Amino acid sequence: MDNNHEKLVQVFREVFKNDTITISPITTAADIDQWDSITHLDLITATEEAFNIEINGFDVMGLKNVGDLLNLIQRKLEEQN
Amino acid sequence: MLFNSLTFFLFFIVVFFSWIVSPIRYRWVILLAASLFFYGWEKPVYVILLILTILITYYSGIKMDLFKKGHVKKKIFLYLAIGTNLGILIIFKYLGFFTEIISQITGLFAFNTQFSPLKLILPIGISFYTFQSIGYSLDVYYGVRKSEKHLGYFALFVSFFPQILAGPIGRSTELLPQFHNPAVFSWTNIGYGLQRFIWGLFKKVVIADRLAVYVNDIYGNIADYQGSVLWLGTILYAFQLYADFSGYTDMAIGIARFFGYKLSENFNFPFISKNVTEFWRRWHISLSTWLRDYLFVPLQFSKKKWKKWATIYALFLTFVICGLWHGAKFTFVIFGVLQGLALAYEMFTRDQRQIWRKKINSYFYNFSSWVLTFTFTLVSFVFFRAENTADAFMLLQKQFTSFYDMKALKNFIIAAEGSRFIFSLILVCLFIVLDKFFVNTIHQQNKNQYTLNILSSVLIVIILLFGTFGKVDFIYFQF
Amino acid sequence: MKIIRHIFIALLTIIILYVGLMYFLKHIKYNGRPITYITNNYYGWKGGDTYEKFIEFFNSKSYDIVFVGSSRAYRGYSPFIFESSGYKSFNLGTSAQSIKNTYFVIKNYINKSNCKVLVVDVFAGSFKQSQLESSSDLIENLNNSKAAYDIAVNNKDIRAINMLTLRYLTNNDLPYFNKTDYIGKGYSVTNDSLSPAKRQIVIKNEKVIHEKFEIDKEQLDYFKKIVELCALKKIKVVFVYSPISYFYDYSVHAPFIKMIIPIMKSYNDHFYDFSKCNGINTLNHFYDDSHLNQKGVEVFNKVLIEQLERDHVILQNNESK
Repeated sequence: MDNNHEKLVQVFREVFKNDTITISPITTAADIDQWDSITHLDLITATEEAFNIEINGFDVMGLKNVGDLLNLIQRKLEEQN
Repeated sequence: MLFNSLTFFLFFIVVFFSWIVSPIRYRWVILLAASLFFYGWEKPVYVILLILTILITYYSGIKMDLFKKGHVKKKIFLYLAIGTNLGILIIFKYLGFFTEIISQITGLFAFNTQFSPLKLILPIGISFYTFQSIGYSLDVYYGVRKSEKHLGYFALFVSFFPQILAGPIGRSTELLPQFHNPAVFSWTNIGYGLQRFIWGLFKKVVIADRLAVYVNDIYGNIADYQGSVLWLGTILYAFQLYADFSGYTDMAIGIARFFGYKLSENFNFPFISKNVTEFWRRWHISLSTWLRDYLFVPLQFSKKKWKKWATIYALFLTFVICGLWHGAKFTFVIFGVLQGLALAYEMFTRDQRQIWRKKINSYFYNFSSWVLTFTFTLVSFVFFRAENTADAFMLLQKQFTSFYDMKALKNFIIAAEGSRFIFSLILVCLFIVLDKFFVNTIHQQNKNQYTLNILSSVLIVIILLFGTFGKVDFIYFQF
Repeated sequence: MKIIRHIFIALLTIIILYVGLMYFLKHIKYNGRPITYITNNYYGWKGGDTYEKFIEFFNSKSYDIVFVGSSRAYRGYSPFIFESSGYKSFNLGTSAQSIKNTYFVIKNYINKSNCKVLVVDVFAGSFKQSQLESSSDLIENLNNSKAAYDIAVNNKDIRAINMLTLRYLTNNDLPYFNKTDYIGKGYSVTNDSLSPAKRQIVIKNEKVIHEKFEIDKEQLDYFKKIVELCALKKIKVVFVYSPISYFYDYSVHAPFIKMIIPIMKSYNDHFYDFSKCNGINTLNHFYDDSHLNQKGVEVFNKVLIEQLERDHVILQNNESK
């Protein structure tokens, strides 16, 4: 779980081109300047690549914060094993 | 029934007192009855349409819960709910438009068909409550929330009278839980509701309806005016539209708060935006977030493999639909396309603009960004207001050719009784100054009770003395 | 307790500020007139024929005939002509006077002792939904405060209350303007004829603009109230449809008459339809779309006097004395 968190921080820093970004489970789009519906797709694709999982439109609907995204990643990883 | 009418005032007093005296458990009955009565006031038959929407959406919601994610039947019930809502919307709002296009096309190929465009009277508020119902169905389908089992609460969710005519478009996740925990009578709520209502009333009768006189004159005689006057008309229209619609929203939020319900905010000082992306986060928020969550994101993810182009594709489709949502007219399509273009431009230049920003003096950068954004907003509003595309293009052409004609501008102001026109501008300035201050103060109720009390009283006197009275519909009722 | 304090503060602020602002706006002048008129366009200003005629009305204690109605009344019935036939009369018609406001004028000014016969000028236009123009003029200019109050309150419009406040603030002011065509006894005279452009329309027999027949329910209710009020006050009343010009859309006339006649019958009141009056023609006897000029008034009033005498509504010269 911590491992996933670390990895996700890297994804965020890469996508939003900002090395100082930190995230916690309660971080939302409102907390990060560049995170909006347009960059959201970039973020999700980058996450998919980093964790080697597939996220579809269905999965995205319920996402409210980083915690939800981490749970989703965890679930997808478990589904693969 | 207009919020700023004597009829509504009497209606509200009756409803509120019945609400107070009835037992808490059954208060929803009062509100539901009031909502159906309110909706049926002008044209009772359209209540049938509303009830149809409520029943079918409610039924499909419960059915959808019975099946697992991805099950065919779950999809069928989603289609039933969305189909009903969109069907009603298309038949009443767009059929005339489509048949007109078809008749134009057939006319183009010289088929001599007697195909007369169909025109039905648009049921008021239809664009708002159908979107709200569709949002609910998608929430249930995607598993964001369970379906609502209580038919009464659900009916109230769709038809709640403060918001049914022109929003804010409510979310199932925000509004439905509130109906489950009925709020009790509280003076704080009444104070907030009253202040918010007075603020909205001020925007409507002192600002919007006063500006409407000038705007209607200018937009009604585009051929007669020079570019400078047309610019004035376009700027005044921006403030009229904002005051009118956000005023309606303030009144709706205020009225709902009397009963303890919190509706979502719809505006966040849109005209201070420094880019178009920001503008859509500040303008008609309940619609833009609805479109984002239920249209843009699904479209974007359905074409995920296209990378950036998926976003462009979703952007344009979303904003053309956003334009069309406002009305079945080509002007609204153009409005949507313009917004799509601006947003696509901003997406592609995002990194480049970051670099400029660092290089250029930040005050200058911010100021010029604001000027560009506001100018773009004004140009796009021309399509929002103009009767037809020909008018809009004539107006724009004049705006960019004779904008320097100060003599024409002076003559217009003199004809509009110069001193009264300037007085109207002073009131608009008062509105701009108070806008941020009042909303900020109102959100800190406990700290500012006396300030708010006095400020509201001052607003009441301004409304009484400087208001424009008589029946003037809200602009957003036509959408 | 806290709530009561808040309500008290609010009410106090509203009342003080309302009166204070009104007072301020009235006393600051721009181009010689109070700046109140800048804030909104509905305020009526003290002065003109309305202001003068209601004062003049009390010069005499009793009249044989009093006329009420809109500008068609105060430009269509000349007390001077009636007086030359021996009837002391006065015209209380005012601009755009709606039926509703006519009711309040009758209620507050007319009684059995000061008026032997009341002539109410009616036409389809005075039954339309009431506009503020007439109320604004009357609230500011009536010398009877009770009448002004009645009109303001019954308008059910915030603007009328503002006008009433302005009335109290301008109570001691002198009139701001005079009307040049006002010649006394409530009558305004015009000697002009139709403008050349309008003459051409009549000569070429061009089509006139079609009007919609609109009767406001409230106005109709007040019409019935007028009939009842006169019966109650024992005032002899007649209703007259004065001559109309070529420009008037005659299609609204028939439904109007159809509506009026049953009411007249049920109260046994007289109704005279002079909309097409013998001897009146648009080219010579009108000065605009709906108002007679002096020549037209002379013809029409003579016809009306003869008719009223024939029906013994008014008693012929000297018979009454």
